[in-house]
Amino acid sequence: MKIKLIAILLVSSTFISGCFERGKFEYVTTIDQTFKYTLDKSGEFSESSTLTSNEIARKVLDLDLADDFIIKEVNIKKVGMKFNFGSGSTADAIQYRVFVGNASGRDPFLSADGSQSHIPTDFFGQIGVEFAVTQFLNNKGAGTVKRVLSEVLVGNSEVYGVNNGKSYRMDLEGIVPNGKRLVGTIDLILDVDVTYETCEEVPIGFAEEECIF
Amino acid sequence: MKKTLPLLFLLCLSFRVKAQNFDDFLKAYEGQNQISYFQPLSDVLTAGLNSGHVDRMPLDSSFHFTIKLIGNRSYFITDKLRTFEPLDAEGQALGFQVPTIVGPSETVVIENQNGSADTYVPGSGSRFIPLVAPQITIGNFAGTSLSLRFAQYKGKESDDTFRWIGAGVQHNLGRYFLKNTNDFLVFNYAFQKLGMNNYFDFTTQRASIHAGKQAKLYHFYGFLGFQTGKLDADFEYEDSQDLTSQFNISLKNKNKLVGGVGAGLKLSVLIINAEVSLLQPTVVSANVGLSF
Repeated sequence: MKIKLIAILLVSSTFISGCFERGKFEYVTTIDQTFKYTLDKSGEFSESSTLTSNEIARKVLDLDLADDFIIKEVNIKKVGMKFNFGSGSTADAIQYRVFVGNASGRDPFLSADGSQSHIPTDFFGQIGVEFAVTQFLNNKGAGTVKRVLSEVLVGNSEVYGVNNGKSYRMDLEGIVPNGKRLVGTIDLILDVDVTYETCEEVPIGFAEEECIF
Repeated sequence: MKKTLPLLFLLCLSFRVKAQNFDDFLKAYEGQNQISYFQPLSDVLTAGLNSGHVDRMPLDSSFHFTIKLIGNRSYFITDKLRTFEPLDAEGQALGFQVPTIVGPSETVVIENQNGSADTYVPGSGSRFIPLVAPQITIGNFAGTSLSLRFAQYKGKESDDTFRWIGAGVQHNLGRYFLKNTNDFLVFNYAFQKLGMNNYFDFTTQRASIHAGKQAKLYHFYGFLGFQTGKLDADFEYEDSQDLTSQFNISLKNKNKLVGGVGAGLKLSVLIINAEVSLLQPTVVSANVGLSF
């Protein structure tokens, strides 16, 4: 009887012990940074749109990532433009360049070397389909964006209410061909990969290492 | 949480992650890269679930009833299941390795010349994959015993119910030609199915031959077999644009051959058994139970 009792206790304790730990996991998620421009232009134009640190951080907050997390790295995944034209818009191509600016200056961000870029005026222009323009990305401007985003996000475990005075703006400059008019909105959309670290309660062994925060 | 549960159970019954984290896994890849990323799930489940079915062999015809808890640890001795070489949009191999879902917990970032970067999501970084299963074994009838596994978890919603059923039969072939009754040659066949309504189904089968020696207090054996596993997952999740996307994947295990060694003790009603399957992934299986 004693042996049976010991055996039952041994088996029960194996069940109960469970062996959990708070393991460290790394994830990557994508947030967008969107700059909006409302245009009613002919000839040359220049418009600016700014994102503050609070607006940058809000994108991460919207994700409801985890109870605790630390952002480790940000990278620009791709850049897209969305054209959405209203009635009265006659332009079917524009020249445009985009500059990224912050407190320390301005760098080229997107450039098609001054060539005309065809823009959708038909059905696709009406529904606002996003077109990839990552191929026109400038290395220096991309570095500026990454630096600003990193200053706001990386190392933060509490992004709520971030207001460190950091911001960046995107200047959209262009030329509407002679005799044409551009009426509508243009969205410049940066898809940014955010690598973050968080802790989950998991059985021992499931994670690479235990959490220290 | 509803979206979190399906593959969660594939990895570990009690692994809890937030829906957002889980969706980040799902939207990481498309096409062949998605299959390569998730492929080890099928191999790990096939190897892990099939371990521990057999311990004491059905050598005689005396009746016994065993209830036991099987604990498995699946180890990845090499990087074969932990990394894969991704393909570009044209299907060309990119020439570097990135983590699979059970691979290193390190994000791989490939910087492009224009300042953009391609980010390859990390794996779970698991040192090993633990798995626990309750099992009863009934025997012996004409050198044959039957093992059964069953587990059910009811979620908050009706389609969150998770079920795991398994059955195995072991027959002592040695009784027909082996003169020493302590030696054995046993055929084992096991079938298991686990799934969650509307999310995924996993089925696996193993046929194996176990040969060894069994005394009153101890036993040891070697085994060689063939196993198949098939994972079908199909459910909706939110992508990075907050749109509903379909996650649809069908995976078969790559490593069909399985072999290993095992040994154990029978101390009164207590049965302890340990088993190592030596082919990828290496599974260390230990089980403890009561036999009446």
